[in-house]
Amino acid sequence: MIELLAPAGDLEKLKFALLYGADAVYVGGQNYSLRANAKNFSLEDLHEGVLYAHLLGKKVYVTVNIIFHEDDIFGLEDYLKELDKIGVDAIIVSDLYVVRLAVILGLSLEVHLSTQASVLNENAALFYKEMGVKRIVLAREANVRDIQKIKEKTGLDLECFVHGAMCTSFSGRCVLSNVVTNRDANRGGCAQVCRFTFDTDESPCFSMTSKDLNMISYIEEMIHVGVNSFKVEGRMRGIYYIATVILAYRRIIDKILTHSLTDFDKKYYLKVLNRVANRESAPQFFKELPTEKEQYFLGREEVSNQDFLGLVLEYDEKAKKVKIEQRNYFKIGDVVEFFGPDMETFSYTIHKIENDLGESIEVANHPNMIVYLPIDKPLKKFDIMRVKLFDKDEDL
Amino acid sequence: MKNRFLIIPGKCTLEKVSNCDFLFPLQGFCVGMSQTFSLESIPDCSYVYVNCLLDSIQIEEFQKLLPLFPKKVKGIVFEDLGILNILQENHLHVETIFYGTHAICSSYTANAFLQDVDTVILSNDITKEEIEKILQKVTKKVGLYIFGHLPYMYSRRTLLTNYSKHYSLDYKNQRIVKEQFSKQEFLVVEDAYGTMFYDTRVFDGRVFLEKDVSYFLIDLHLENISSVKNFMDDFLRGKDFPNSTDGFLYRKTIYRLPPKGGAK
Repeated sequence: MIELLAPAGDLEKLKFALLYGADAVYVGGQNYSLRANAKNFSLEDLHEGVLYAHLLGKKVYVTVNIIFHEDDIFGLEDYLKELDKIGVDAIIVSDLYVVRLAVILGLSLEVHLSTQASVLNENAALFYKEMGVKRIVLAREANVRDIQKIKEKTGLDLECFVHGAMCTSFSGRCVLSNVVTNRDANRGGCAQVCRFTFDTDESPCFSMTSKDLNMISYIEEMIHVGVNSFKVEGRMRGIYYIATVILAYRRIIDKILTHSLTDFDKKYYLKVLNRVANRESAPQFFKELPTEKEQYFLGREEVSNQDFLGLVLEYDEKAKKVKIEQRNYFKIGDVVEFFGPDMETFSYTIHKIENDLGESIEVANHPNMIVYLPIDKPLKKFDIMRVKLFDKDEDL
Repeated sequence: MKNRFLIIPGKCTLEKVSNCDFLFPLQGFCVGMSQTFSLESIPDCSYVYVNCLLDSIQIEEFQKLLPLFPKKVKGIVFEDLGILNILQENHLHVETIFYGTHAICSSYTANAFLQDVDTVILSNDITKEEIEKILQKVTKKVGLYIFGHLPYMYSRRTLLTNYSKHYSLDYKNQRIVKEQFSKQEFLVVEDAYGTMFYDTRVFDGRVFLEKDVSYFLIDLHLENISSVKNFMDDFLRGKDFPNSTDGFLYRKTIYRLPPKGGAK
């Protein structure tokens, strides 16, 4: 089984992730999740999300991955039972108490061990397998050898992060946020102190900010050594990022599975991913320990991305017009491109824009304004219009 | 039964001290320790310490030490649960003391681990009130870290090497870095495994000395002391330690931010 697993910070993102090719999503409930300050899912949202995913034959996993303090336990048992009743496919946990509780309660959902447990070797994996864990989300520090050994010795489902932000620390082994900001990292309050800057007794500031993870060039090898689930980080990310990243990995995985992956594809999708990211990325620990080249030295070095121009709301087949909700400024004469889950990306030069009164306008400059573009190629709801990134046939 | 002390030694003579055992950081299986010991070099029937997660090569190396365990190892304090699996599979009857970094913050979690190990060391980022509640509800005695530089984070990256290489500086280990806004200082220690961040102040948890626990853990590896016996005499007599901290004992952390515009 090969699975592409996407983050979903809310119902809209869940739907985008699944439409753009994820086989499963992981989400946080309003309690017990490590993104305590994200919007997260109410039980009603979860119910709707699970129904939606299951209709598509896809899965929903819920993170219950905080380290519990004494006062956090209240309500946990009922919550787990409720998740089971809703039909959630798995919970992702790190606290051994939750692993044992889920087993004792006889829940039908699976228990997946969170990367917060930072499993790096087959013996640790066997310990958790004995506990009833069905899948392990390996430590981001696990290298190709570690992954292979764990698979060989345990036969467990293995899930690995392939894309997104990295902690500097081993996950779960850091309380710098607690010390500096009083926000508990292991209960979802992490302030990302590893992206702060520090003074030293020498003039350059000390910084340890990690570049992001990007494994698109190694997916084939990861499949070969036994990874089952390819996980994208980013429950706080927007729909454009999720759609772009998930579609890139979907296409790569499908081409690998059909033995049609070319070097051009690898280069193209790497370029797409690099464009959508707000930080540089690297394969990090997969082949060797990261060096100074895999981190930043001036704290946060992030750029905002304004490639997302509009979201397709509907397409009028008769009038050959697409209705778009604007997300970033665009104007007549701009060369843009459309992409979506069921189409090949194509470029388009904007020669006419109409507002919702049918009047011609020169620019779409208001956030979320509704505009219409004449276009012959049919589009679907949830397709996306973005800045033209580069020609597919240009030298990559 | 009187509480026992497990002492991670610093650079001092290893004299026998009543009611205390040394806890030897195991060479090749630790991060951020100023000194480590091979299994051959420590006295028979000792306690050994493995304070980091082990990768697949390290876990294989660890298994090669097993023939020495019956003679050398009385107990093991460990972070990686792979060690527990190995000890169980090999039917090695050494005392198992799980000390998962920041892992045990409730009696529920402690009890979940206590089904498989002899004792656990509680997390050092919880409050005194939380610790007292846990002590009342655990199914076996548990241990407490009560002295030393609190470890706050460890990484597999060699952050000091990376820093010196990036800026072409002379390499220097054990750097003190200061976070720019909070002015919080950290002692950064690097070795072949990676990097550990410690508090520059020593944690003083003597407020717990009367509690009934399995072990009190005392970490002297960064302390400049010549005699463990003298240190323990001072420690138990209540001597003040300059530049000390009570860590999180009276500092409850939050994890949900108030809504924008202020708390409601």
